[in-house]
Amino acid sequence: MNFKSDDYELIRDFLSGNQQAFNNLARKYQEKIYWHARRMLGDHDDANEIVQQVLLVMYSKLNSFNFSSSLYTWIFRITYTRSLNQLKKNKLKRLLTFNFNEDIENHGYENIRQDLESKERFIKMEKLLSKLPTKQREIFIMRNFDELSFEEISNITGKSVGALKANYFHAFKKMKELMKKNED
Amino acid sequence: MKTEERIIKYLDDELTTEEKIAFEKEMESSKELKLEFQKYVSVKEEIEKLKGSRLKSDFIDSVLPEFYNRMRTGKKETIRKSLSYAFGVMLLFIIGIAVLRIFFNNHIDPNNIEEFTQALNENQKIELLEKFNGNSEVYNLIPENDIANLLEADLEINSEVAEAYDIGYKEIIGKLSDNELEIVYQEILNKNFLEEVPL
Repeated sequence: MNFKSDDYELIRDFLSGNQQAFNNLARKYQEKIYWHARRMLGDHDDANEIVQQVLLVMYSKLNSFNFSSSLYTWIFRITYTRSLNQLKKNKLKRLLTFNFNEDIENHGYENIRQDLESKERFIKMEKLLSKLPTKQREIFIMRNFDELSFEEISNITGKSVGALKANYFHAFKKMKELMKKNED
Repeated sequence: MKTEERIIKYLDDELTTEEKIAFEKEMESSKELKLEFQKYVSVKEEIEKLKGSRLKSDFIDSVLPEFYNRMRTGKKETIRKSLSYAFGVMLLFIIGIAVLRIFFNNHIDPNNIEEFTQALNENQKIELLEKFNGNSEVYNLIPENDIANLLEADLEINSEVAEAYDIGYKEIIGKLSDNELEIVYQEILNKNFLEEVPL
């Protein structure tokens, strides 16, 4: 399946007034958007909010998309930016309300298909990811969960490949240490 | 290249063929490297198990309806928000104007004579004292402290009096009897402000 031509046709149809084409695009990418946001923010409601925001941007700005990158990269860039903004908003909200408890508010595990063992694994990973600094978390998630290359991540984030690699190595090392500590 | 970097690159399949072979050979002979490598492998294994996480269909099916619902209510929300902001800005503007007016109004409590006299400029003080000129009934109604404040104001005008005699007002008052004070009051209130006041 050629995603690019599929996406091109769907965009073309949507811009011609076919609402169903937009729905198809949304269904195609909504889970990817959700999971990236979920792993960055660690909260179901926040992740759902990001999905809604990204869909809204897609709906209103697809007419300006010029295929200089893939649609997935374009959508990912929006998801990445909105997730970072939400992270900053959450930090500020905690500061202004003197709530220094960084525990996740809504895990939303009822929305995820999983057995008990998977749920525990999921909770553990979310806790570990939340302990990474933001820059390390984003690169770690994009490399390991979103399976993006350093070049693609550089394209999305605007950061140099060298800087991304350095952050990635630090992130991986930290995750290893956190997992070891967790097991002990 | 540091050990951790080699391990990570090996796991991400980013080493060259030669580097890979060298790394695997080193691991065979080094227990520490093997142990360290295993820790990184554990992280990768956990990630692999979680990559297959999927959302339930209930939630997936709810995303688009929520989106379209927000689109419908969002327009009303935008208008309501804009009006709220406009109202808020207007309110702040009105409050700001009111505060500035109060601040610059120089409102003085007419019952507070001291504040009143201090707020007077030179000409106003002269005008006030002239009004009291010879009118003992008026200044009998005025509390002594208030008279004192008015006279202090007067001495400010007639600084040459104080300077000429090298005295302060309180020194004058402290040494005078009640009758003498009465005379002084009358003199100051009746006099030409340029004349010296004999004590």
